[in-house]
Amino acid sequence: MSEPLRSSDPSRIAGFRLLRRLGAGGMGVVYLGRTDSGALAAVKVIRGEGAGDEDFRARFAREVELARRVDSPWVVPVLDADAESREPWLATAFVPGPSIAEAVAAHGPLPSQAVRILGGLLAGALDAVHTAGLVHRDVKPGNVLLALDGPRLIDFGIARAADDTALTASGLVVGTPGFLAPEQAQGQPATSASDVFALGCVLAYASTGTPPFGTGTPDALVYRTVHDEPELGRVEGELRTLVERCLAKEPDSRPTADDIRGLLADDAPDASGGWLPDSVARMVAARAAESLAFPDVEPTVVDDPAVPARHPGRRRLLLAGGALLLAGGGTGAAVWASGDDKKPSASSGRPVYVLGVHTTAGTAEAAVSRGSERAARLAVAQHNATPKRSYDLKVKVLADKGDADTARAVARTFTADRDVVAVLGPVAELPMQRAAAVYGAAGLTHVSSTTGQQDYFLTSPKTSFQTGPAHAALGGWIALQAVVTNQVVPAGVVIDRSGGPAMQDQGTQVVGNWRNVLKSEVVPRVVAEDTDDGPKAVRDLLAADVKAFVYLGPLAATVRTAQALATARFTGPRWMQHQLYGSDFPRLAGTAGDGWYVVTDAVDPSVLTTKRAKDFTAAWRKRYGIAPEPYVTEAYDSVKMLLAEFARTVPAGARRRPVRSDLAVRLAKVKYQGIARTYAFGDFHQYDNSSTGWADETFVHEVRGGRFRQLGSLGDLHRAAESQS
Amino acid sequence: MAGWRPVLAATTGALLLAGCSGGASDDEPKAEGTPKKSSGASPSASPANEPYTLAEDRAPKTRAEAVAFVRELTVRPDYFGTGYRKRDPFESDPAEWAVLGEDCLWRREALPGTVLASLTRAYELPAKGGKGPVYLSLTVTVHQDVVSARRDMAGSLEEALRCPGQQLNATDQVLGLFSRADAFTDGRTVISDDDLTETGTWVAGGGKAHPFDWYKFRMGPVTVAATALHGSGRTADEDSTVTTDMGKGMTFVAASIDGRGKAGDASATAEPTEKKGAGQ
Repeated sequence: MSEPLRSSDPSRIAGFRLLRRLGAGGMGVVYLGRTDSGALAAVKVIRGEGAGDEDFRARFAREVELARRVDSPWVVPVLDADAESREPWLATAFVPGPSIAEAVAAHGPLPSQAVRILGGLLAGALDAVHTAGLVHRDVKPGNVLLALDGPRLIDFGIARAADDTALTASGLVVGTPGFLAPEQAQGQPATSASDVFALGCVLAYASTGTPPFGTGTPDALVYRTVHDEPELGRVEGELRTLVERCLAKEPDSRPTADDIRGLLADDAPDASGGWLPDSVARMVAARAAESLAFPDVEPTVVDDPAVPARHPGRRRLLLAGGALLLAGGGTGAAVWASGDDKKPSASSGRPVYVLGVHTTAGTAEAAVSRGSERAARLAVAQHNATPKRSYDLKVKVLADKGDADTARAVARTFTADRDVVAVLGPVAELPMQRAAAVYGAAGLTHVSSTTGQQDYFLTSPKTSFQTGPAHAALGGWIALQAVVTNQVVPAGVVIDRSGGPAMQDQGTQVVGNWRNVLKSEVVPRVVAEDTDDGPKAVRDLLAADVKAFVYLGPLAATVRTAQALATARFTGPRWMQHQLYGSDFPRLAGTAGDGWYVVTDAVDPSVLTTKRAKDFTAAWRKRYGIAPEPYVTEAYDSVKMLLAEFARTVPAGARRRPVRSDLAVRLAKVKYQGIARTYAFGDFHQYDNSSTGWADETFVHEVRGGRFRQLGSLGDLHRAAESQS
Repeated sequence: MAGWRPVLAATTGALLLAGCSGGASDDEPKAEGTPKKSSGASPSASPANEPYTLAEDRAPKTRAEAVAFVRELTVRPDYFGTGYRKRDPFESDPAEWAVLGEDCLWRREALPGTVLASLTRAYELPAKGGKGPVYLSLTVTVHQDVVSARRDMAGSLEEALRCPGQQLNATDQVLGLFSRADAFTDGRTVISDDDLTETGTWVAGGGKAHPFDWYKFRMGPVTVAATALHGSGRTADEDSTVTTDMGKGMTFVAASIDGRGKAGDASATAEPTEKKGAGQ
């Protein structure tokens, strides 16, 4: 989340000793500094165009003056500033907490009570900003940091230059599309009502985990913001009514910040962090602890002239969404400031090829969709930072709606674009099954890292690949974990058909292996879809006195099972279906979830000690400010593999274009060493698990203390058990 | 660590299975134990956008209506291929159905409250030219509502998991059963609301094992099931044709039920013709 100072960086600015770089953007660099009294500060130094512009300096001085008047415990205070200096600078208090964006990404949506508290305090913060005569203009999840006693609003309006904007079809807009008010999105000046709109978006995001106008290109977001109704998912009751009012298209119809504070005033937090979910509170505390460890002096590193993206061009910043972080924990900073891969320089004379990312819109697939996009962007940025590359890459993301028609439409768009050389995805089963034929017919190679049905091969036997194991295989490995950890006891297995066909795929294998291979007793129960028969099945199995439990169903039903088993004081081994890894289960189940296992191919690389895993984790943290999320490692591996093989299909020297179909031919024979596994493909282009290596490539995670913790691979667990016996 | 290798073998086998189930193409990769869900189950070349179904409000409501409904359905022997004929006894008692006990033995029992009628018809392809006979049954069951029918499908899936070997009667056994069900909404090659396929082998009186198939469709509150006990003397391809033809015959029945719902004659009243089926 921060990096060492460079030789070109100053060691001191006014009363602040600079310790590390928190981030860099078009307006300058944000440093972590320490005052002589020892307090940490975020020091933003304006460089480049802004520094030489007299109008800018005048406005900077005025806004600093106004900001000093902002009086709210929920707004990060200005410590000092100098608009007259050769490089104007501004210092604010350093808040080590994660942003709402990071907290939600890592631990899912916040409970409604926490959102109410957040809403009340942020409304107070905005009211203070508005009272001081400022408009924030960029309220978004990345600009709200979390501390144990409440949120902190950062980056309030100062030093955001006119070019700190997003480029859309209708022109430039200041702020971040997706959180912009309609009037702001249409180029009108932001007002305090625009901040209230953005606050509504933040509260919706905190409640649901998705922005209310979705994700996508700035143009699409602006269009939806202006024309569509917000998607508020599970926001309920009074909170929903309030958020809807904040999101009124007409600025005059929105409540004021003061109104909102009044409405939510009864929800005051204590200072212990009790208002936050345990997992988030722990994250906040961990960040605070990390910040104590910042050294006073660190060696500087020499600027590497071979890395061109350090100071991204103006155009790149425009496309980045104009979200320069002003101050604060370097949390969001890394996300926005680490260079952008969307627009490789067009003037280089190098050809530009496109990597497609085929995702699925909607809550159910939000995490894997976002993870796939992020993985692709990181891999492509790494390619574009290679000095001797002969071509540039860019990422194009298109989302289907999870159905056959839109999945095929996305595939047709990609296949029709002759610059698209390979596609990561689709991310969901039905789109994979249906879009494969379109990709296959066009000879465009695509790799899905998050699906486990293998129907694609029948319609697309040449260019469709899958880098995740079949659901059935993962089900079989549950039994393997039981063997290697010496937990072979009579088991109850529930297949809840509401979870879709993957429940049967897994369940059939669990039951078969338990009975035939483990030679132990197993009691199966199949629950009909769209009934409420799950709890009865659980009771039946408890009555049958099973000693191990496997519930294969949707999230809510599995959480309910965890609660029922906790109530029954069931302490035997318990497994959930593998697709729930990375889900909200730990938070929703609370302590009842402790001890549940999930067996999956998805690795948590942040706890691995290999160099590859460490390098990847560091690169991810640097770019996105958090550890790699579930499923992103496999998506990243898949992209790197695609790109490595694609490179070998690019004709050397000549100006000829690579032949699309060559990639699939290469990929079918590949043996690619990823971060935590080797990829090779079987006869159906499926992830090949016919060798013994998979035991070291299949991971057991245990829910403990509100999150998934990786216990190790099956191979690790096996060796650990062997060494003990 | 004795379990290590066998688990590996089992999962690899499942992978092959998963790789081939759900398709309807001629170049379908062949893998042992693959449910032959071939084009026979779906006479139309492209997957339809609507499943064969029967709306709950067009389905029989009373036992009398349900009995009339199942009896009026025409199920000709040649639905299942040339040479099939009715067995004697041909029809079962519609007030009974077959139930798999805790002991994995099938018995005929009175219908539970959730089932309005269930009629099983019996067919055979007589032995000919060195090929043993095929015994085929077709059962149409009217449940009181869609939820009951869904529970029945879940129960059928559970049966193969609970009893991978089942005793059909005093002499006949089915073994190594593997079943799976795909809902139409899962997007696979499915023609009704929910298609279940089950495969295994059957053994008569300690003799040689031959293929056994069980297909079951759900259309709203109605289920249609067929079983085929293959005789000896067929090649794998010929056995596959028997299975495919059974699927075709079921499709005719499904289409006719679907058509009755659409024509609105499902609730046409008819006198219950209480013909005594001898059962099985």
